[in-house]
Amino acid sequence: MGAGVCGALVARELARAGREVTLLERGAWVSHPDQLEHGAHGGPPATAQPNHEGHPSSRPYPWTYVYGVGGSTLAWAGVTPRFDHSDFRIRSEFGVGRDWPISYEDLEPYYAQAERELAVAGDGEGLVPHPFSPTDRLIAPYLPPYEALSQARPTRSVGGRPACTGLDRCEMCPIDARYSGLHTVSAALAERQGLQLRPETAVTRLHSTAGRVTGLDCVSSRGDRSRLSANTVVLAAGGIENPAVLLRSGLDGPDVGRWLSDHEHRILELELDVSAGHGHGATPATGMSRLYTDAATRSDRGAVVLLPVDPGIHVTVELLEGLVSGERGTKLRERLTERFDKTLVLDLTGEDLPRADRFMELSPTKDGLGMPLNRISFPPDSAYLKDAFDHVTTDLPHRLAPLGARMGRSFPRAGGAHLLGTCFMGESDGVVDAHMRHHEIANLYVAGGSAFPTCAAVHPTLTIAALALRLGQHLASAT
Amino acid sequence: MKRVLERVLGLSPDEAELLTVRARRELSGPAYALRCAAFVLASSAAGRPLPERLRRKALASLLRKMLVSSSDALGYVGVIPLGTENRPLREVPRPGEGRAD
Repeated sequence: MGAGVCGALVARELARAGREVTLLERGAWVSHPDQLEHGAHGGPPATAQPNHEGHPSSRPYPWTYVYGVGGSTLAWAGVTPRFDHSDFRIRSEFGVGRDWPISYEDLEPYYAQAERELAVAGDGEGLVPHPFSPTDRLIAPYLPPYEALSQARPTRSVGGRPACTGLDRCEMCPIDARYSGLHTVSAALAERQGLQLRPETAVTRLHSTAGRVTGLDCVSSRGDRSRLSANTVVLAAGGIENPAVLLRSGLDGPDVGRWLSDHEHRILELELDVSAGHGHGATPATGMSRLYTDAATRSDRGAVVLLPVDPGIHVTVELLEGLVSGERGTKLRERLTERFDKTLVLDLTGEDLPRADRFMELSPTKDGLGMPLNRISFPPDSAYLKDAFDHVTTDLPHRLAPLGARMGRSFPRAGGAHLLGTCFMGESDGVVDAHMRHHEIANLYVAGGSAFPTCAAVHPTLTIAALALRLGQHLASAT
Repeated sequence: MKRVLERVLGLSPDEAELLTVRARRELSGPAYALRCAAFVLASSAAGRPLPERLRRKALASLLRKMLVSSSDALGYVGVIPLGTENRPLREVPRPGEGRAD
């Protein structure tokens, strides 16, 4: 269930091993040209539009996910760093959060495979990384360790995808260079190896008897209902839909839908004495600092990674505000030119700890297919994340003092795209084991970001892909 | 419209031409005409009495079709030449047209 990067990779691994696989996807098949024309959220509204609502006691939050063949990788930026070793052991090393039941070493071979699958620039083999931009070269000496940004925007043509040309529209790549799950599904279908795709088909509930799933009830976008059976069922529909189908099926253990995590961002602007060197990177972001990821202080505050980004979005915002306040013409343009030439813009992504008050549950309100809406509670940052952002905000001007850095604006940027933790893996706790097998249902696997015990500071897609490859090969090797 | 953009945004005639071409490409004819009219009104003295919220919406509705991406906006502040950063899609390779693996 779910044809995003996770479901696509699991299905492809199984099909290659000669298994009969049916890939169910609530959303539609929207080709890349049609995405360019109509947006990623194509297809009939009943199966294309996100079906969540906010919890009455929570704040509004911009959850962002895509129903469709390819899933949320139809609309993402393509940033694919690996987790650190310590990200799998924050309970053991720092006394907070949870350890994963697997280690970095367990996942390392699958990270390498995932980088090849997604055609990640800087995969250590065939694809060189995108080079540092002038901005990276300016700040890297002060923010070690500073690395080339791992990103699924290839530096040469791979598998029918052209090389990234730096058009800076990554979330809807105009030339289809940036990876999406649609690439994997398309390639897997072309291999003609026992893979059947059923788009616009939502799973309404699972039926289970004696610790095994015996059937899946489905409904199509036209309202047609059917029941399928399978030897093995893999849920790979993200951190909202995975727990939702478990809850709709009465598989409601204490951790199902709980501990929802996301990465919230903070944007920092630092005024420099020198030009920040914007606009000359090969892609919108080409470097990343892990300076704030592994300090002993992680017992008290979260890890943070930071990426220098072009200030273009902020230029447009300030241009608009200038116009609204009555500024006009060359004076306005010159003011903005002066201001942004020497403004370093950093995107901070931070780690928060799992929290019981962040969860999804089923709403009494029904969606267009007659299923409950997913009601999401996501209260604001904990002190663990806020303190981490505050520390970086205070520390950075000192680190960058040789460039004359002075702190400018600092403002939050909501995440909403990383839906993690709602069916987390644990040896005895959580919802699934180290292979993402359900603790109580022997032939049910709950894969993807929902299985993360903790969220680390970095973007999760590569880890989701590595876990998917590991699961696919585990299932394929099973008798 | 081009002269309005030159005056309001401080653009050269060539830049104003580029941005109007881009907005026309992004919008249908009637939508383009409607947003131009709203932009002209919101950026004029006659539009000053309008509520700020309405003026912001009117200005943004055209501005965001002319400065679409981050690098478009960088072009506006002179980091790169305006217009070169965002070539029409037909000028860049389509999937499968790149070099072989």
